[in-house]
Amino acid sequence: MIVPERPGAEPHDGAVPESYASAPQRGRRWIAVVGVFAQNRLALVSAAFLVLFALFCFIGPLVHSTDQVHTNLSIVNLQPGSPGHVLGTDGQGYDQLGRLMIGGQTSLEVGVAAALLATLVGALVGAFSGFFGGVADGVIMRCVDGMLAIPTVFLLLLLAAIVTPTKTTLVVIVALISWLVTARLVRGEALMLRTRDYVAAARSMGSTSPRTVLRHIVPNSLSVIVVNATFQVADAILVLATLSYLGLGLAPPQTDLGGMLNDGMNYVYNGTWWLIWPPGVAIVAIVVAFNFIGDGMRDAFEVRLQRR
Amino acid sequence: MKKSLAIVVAGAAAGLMSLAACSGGQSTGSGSGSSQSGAPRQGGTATFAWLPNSVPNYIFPMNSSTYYSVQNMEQFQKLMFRPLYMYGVNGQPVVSTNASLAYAPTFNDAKHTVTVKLRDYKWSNGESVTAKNVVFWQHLVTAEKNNWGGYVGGLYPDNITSVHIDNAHQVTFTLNANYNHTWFWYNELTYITPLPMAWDKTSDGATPGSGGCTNDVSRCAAVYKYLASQAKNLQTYASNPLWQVVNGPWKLKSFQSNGNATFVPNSKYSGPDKPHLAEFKTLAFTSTDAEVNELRSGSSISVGYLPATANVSKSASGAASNPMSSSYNLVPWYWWGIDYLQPNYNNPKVGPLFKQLYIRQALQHVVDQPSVIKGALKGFGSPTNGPVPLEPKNPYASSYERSNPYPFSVSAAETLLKSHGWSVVPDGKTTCTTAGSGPGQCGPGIAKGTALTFNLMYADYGPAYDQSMNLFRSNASKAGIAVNVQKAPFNTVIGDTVRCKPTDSNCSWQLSEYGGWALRPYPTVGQLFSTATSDGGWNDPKIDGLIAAATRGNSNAALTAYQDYLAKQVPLIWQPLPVQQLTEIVKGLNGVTPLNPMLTLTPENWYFTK
Repeated sequence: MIVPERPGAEPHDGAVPESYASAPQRGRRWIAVVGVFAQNRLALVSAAFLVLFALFCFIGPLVHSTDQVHTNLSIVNLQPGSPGHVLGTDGQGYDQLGRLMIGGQTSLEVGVAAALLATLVGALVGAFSGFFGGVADGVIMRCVDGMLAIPTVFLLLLLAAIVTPTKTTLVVIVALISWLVTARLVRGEALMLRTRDYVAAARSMGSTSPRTVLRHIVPNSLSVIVVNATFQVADAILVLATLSYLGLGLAPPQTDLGGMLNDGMNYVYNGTWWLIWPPGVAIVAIVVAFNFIGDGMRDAFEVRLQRR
Repeated sequence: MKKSLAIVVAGAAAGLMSLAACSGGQSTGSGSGSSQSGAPRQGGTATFAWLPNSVPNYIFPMNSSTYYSVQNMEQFQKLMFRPLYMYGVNGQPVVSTNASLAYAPTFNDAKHTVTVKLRDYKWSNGESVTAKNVVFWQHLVTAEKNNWGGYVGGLYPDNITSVHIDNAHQVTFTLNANYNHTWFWYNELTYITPLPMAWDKTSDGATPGSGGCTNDVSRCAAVYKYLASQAKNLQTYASNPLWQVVNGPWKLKSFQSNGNATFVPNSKYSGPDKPHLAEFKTLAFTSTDAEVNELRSGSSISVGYLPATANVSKSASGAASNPMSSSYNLVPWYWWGIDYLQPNYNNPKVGPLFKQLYIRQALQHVVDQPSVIKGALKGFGSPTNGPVPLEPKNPYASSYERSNPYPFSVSAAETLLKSHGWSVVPDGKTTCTTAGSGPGQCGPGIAKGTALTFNLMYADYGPAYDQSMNLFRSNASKAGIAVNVQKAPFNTVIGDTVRCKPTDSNCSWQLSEYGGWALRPYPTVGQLFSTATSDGGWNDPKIDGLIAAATRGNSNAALTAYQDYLAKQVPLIWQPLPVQQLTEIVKGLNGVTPLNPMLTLTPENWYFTK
């Protein structure tokens, strides 16, 4: 049977497949990607912001040391500018600036870890599903569809009620609902890539299915995976914030930005803006920054967009 | 368990907003409190705001566990259907003989009897309240005790062997033993609510009395079934002729299932406290914010409440600052209860730890009640040192309990642990280094290397409880005791806090805080501490004997021995008790205070002045 040539039968951007590229070729490509990314000012500013915020969260406690373990009810809700408390204190008497640091730590750690885990699982499931196709693909994708059909908040509430929230369990919970989108995207890429000549060539030379997926399908889906991972971080931080805002986050004395926001809402009628604005703004800024970075990376990876 | 759950629910509802008591049983108003000057004016409408999601949903005063709530019993049914004895006098948890249907009971210990003589009260249909109405209740509750939320095996009505009508206005109960007179009067006879003959039937069109329950216990099941089914139809509360036969000061004019209701005075009410108001209304709110917004508008609420997070404080003189002082007087509503952490003595992991007195003492030492009351409760709370409340001021609390046997002291907690073979690591992992049962050793069932760590689950009652529980966690950590706190909805906490065996799958809970316990007027709480009924599996034959002595003998020393022993043994980790709510009373409305520590509503005493 003669298979008519169709768009997509070869790498759509004309680039050398990742798995075929030599080391110098790969290096030049990544340099090009970084170059394009660097031209996106919003993405650059966002990246700089995230670096600074990470330094604030992880290095800050070394500079501004506060007790974030023991509560002190004699200094609750002190206003910003109070002696020793630049950003005031919260409803437990914790220094709010120090709280913002450890809350930010948690949000970044859980957000990034959950995104990585979701991306890893989603990419592998999607790649194998798309590569094998047929019944296996149908079953896996129907399962994904089924899970996507469950309201996220319901699933989160259920899971959070079953397990005791710790950083590890929160990473797993958030990843559990996040890998689905990645799987669908990578599966789409795999469906396309599996028809490429270089995949057929690898198969004809005896490459096993797992090796083909891991060495040819996944590497050539990297642009989709990386861009999606960036958005996943933003989404994961939002999901974590949602969980904590609903009171299903980490147990004290741990906290995250959503948890801080939740605590602050208790005093919303008391004018304690410093309990709400800092974590609220931080959540928005982090999520927006990751989204801008994601946009920048998509542009950098997508050759067709570069040509426009 | 059924009984304890029922009372807990009532107590939890009470503790929902956090509340207050008036010092000495009197309100600590905002300096103005609720003045009672000026001659009462007849007429006017007063409105009362329900706490969010806490509205009445049952009108028949024999409540099953499902409906055994403060809102149903104390704030709705009693307006229409009076029990034999009303409690709450001048903010004190005592029976009001003046406002009750009966005179003080007469006990005959030689015959194990108690005689109750009724006052001359009328039902709204013109019939007299008679001994038959009392017997009707007694038969009904005897036949359907398992459908009554107040039932505890061995106590009322099990401890009444017979009831005899002496004459139309006098009834005599024969008991299975002699009981403490005050206890039996305050805690058992106060359950009895005379029921009208119009309810003794089994269908809508039946003749009053045809149900036969008044004369024959065996015929009560059908009557109960009929009445219970009628009570489940909330839409007909104001129109069903059954519920229009009342002996209280109020009749229901309208009722909505959301809790909005209008009461009008019962023109046939024969008690001394006839209503001054033309109407009394209750308003339901879906959230505290909605209620506060309505309160701010100053339009429709006569008696409302502030959220626990409101900007209020209590001065040294006891007066409360009031953010709505232009329109309202602020009065904290103290209630008759205790608050505590419930340990699970049967938990396979930490049960052996809780069984050690020194560990319970250490846990009690790290409860900083003064700081919680001052900081989290803003002064509107009272300490709990034992099974008897310290506020409102009362004659029951012993000097030993008042002295607080285990005051806040992290160092004392550390010392106790170190002296019993623990390697204490403040803010770290404290472990047992000297296992064994002898002096200076950790105790039986505690292996070497065991970590001193507990999981504490508490009900989500808002920021004040968050602060209280976190302060406990924080102070415990300083003493080397790791407490992992987790907040959960009330229903989750109360559902998990069950009596269990170590091998049961539901025995994983360790420490639980569900909001405390609303006491009956005479402060013995056998359900919490007796070997047979303790949710936590507290097992102590001595306390069983002390409970029996306190409820059966008439010696005050027995009550003192009971509370002193429990205060010393700390079977529960005592916690400060918040007030029921920070009540806002519109200016010009009088007679609202002193608020009833049993949380009973008595709007018949409210009035506007001329």
